[in-house]
Amino acid sequence: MSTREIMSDSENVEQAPNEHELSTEADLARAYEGDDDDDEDAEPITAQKVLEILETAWTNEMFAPELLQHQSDMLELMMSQVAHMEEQMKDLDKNDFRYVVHQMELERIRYIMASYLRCRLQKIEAFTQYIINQDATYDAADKRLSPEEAKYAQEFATNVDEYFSKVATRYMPNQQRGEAEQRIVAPNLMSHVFLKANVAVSGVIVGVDDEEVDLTPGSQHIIPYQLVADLIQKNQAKLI
Amino acid sequence: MDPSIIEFIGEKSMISIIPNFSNEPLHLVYGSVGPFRAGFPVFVPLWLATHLRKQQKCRIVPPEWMELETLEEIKEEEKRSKFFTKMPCEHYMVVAQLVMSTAPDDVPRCEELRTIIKDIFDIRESKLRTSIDAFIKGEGTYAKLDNLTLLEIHSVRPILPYSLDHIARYQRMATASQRDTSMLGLNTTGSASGTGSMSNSLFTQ
Repeated sequence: MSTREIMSDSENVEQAPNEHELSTEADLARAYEGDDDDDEDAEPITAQKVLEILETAWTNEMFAPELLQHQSDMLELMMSQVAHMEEQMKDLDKNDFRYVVHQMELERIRYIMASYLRCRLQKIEAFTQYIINQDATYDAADKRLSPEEAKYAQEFATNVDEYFSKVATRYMPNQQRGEAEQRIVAPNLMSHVFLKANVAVSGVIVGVDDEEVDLTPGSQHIIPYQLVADLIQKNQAKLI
Repeated sequence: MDPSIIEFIGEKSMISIIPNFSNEPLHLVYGSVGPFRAGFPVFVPLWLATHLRKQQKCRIVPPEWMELETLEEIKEEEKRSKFFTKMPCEHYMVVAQLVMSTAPDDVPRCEELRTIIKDIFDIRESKLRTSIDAFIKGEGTYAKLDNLTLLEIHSVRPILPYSLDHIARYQRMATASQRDTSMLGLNTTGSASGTGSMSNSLFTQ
């Protein structure tokens, strides 16, 4: 896990004020790359940046038909930031203006994180076996499931199998039990999604007949997901 | 997606308020706000503005575009243009709705504004429906949707991507069965795999 600390001064939940305009690109790129190998020289990332990444991950996850890359590092950073802020707010009066406002913001952040994780769990439960099989083909660095999710998925699959076998399939004649592979539910990767380009991307194939278009920054499109899945992965576009 | 999530996202937009209290700047995770000085306007996120307004701690300054003449122009432009015009604010419906419901007294000619914003929304919605109709009849799979706001996109989410998915599925089935019939005389295994893929696609959502 990443050892980076969120930049945060000690005095009452201070943090570096808006410096995001200057270093957005570099930070973002760093955050999206596997950061397990460069803990030593990693720059501190601002809490604001982490929140932005999580918000994007949240909306992308809500609209993508398949499970996207997990964001455990970012979630962990944000969790510790929230805990840290709550620790510092402990001594404030509950009716203090600062307390109320910070509390409201933390509730919003918590909602985003919870909604994000819930959304992933829904996908895991719907496409359990498909996701497990897919994940087995990825390298350790780009697993889609976090270790906790992988455990959950595995247990969920076992439990469902066991349940079906106990209540139904073992009472059926052999040929009606069906093969495990036939029961795999897969997401429809060609389902249409709404997309917003973050940067200019040229030559995106948009149809079955290899028609190409160039996306301009900020432009919006409706398009089958699979054709743009790599743009989402590379953060060149986001789902809306 | 639930409309309340769109509102949640829209609540991040910044809006100007005039507080009636003073306070040091607050360093929120999302960025710093303040300092608050009684009587001086300050920009805060909309969720904070509505909260403070409900507590009677501030007045909301309506955004520049929330003004009758500007909106009249936008409405005319929207009527004239074949395409969607750019809205003054990415979340204009959310902002208008929240500001006008929490602080009707802070917005001059609130009722008239409400009507005209609704008019603009209706014009855009009907334009959207017409173009979707043409789009689906034209059997497209890709379309550009510039200048549509999040709420408008979501108003067609239950129908547009869903129907396109279905059309695409029928097309895939059609090609698959065409291939099957053409191969039937020559190759039986081909047709077996064809049916296999068809029954699989029935299971996908």
